[in-house]
Amino acid sequence: MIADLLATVGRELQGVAYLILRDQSDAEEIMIDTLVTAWRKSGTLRDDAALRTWLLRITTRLALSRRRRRHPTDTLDLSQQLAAPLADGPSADRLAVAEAMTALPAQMRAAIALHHVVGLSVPQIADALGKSPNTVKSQLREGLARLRTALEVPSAAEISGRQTHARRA
Amino acid sequence: MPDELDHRVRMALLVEVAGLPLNVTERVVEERIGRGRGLPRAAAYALAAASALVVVGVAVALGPGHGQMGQLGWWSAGASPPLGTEIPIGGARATIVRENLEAARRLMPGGLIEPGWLPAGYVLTNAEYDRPGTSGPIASVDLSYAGPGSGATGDVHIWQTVARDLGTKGPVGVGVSVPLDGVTWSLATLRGGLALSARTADGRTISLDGDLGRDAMERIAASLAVRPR
Repeated sequence: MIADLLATVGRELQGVAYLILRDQSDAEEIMIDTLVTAWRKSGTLRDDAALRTWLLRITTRLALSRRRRRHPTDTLDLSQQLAAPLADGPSADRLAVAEAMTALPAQMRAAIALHHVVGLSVPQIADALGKSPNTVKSQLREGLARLRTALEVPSAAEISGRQTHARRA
Repeated sequence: MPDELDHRVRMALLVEVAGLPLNVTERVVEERIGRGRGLPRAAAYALAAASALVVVGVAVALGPGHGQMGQLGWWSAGASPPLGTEIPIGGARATIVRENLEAARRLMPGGLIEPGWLPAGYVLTNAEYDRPGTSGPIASVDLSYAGPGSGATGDVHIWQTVARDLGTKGPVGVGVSVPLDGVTWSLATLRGGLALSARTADGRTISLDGDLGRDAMERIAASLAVRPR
């Protein structure tokens, strides 16, 4: 049963936790805690069809809770976060968005992850975060704007490429 | 070009997440579950059924018009529920509730204390227990009951524990003393209704809370067959 859940929603749960916490090991812990919590609390699941949303809500709340418990002096190492292997290597967009994402407040990251990565609706996110739909809309709007801004600023690689191109010209 | 930028943002997020290795295995999760509480087999039914969107449709409760405790005999007798009856919860939940209840009866030291009377239409909707280790007795049990139109008429929650450190956290000692059939209960007013608590002769703490009104709550408490301390 756990294997089925891991296969069907494991990546989503881990992905959301990672985007909130920006730490792979913490994200794995949250995914485990989510499945353990789901196992114990499955009696409270009112609607079997809502399993995925329910699990994502548990993940989000656990991740935000862990975030709050983190020592204030804990720092996030962006180079470590981006060490995950990729099929096509880290792109400039990925680096820029990752850096901008890390700079967002945790709640805003959660809203962005739940909406733009796993596709939850605004009411579902509001339920997961315990916020009003209007607050969630506002967080999504502002969060996306900040991430967009990160892409509008030329990256170091782009600047370097332009200079090379200019020299050739 | 916000649309294009939005698309690039989403793609960057998706690519970042897709690059994460999935290191967590079934065994890791099961080992963690084994150190916790609950009944894995029962939970497995619920989660498996839910993940497959399957409703197993196990009927486990009282039919319409059954409200008095005489019809709750299969609970106190530890028997399987009569077939052909209905419960207003999903099949997966019904399965876990039934299995948790049976496990609680089997594993609770001194036996599980269950109500001998409930208002008409009230059925068991949840059963959970805490178990400090992976085997052996359990420490506390939560039973929840709901009636038709639950929420409007209120739920009843019964909690019992054999752990003395947990018992001190219960509402026993708060409120006013109410003698019911030879047992002294403590009646307290909570924000959501009333709570009645007592300590049993074998040292366990039992507490019920709900918003059914004092008469009904006291009648349920009296039906719990708590031996006087």
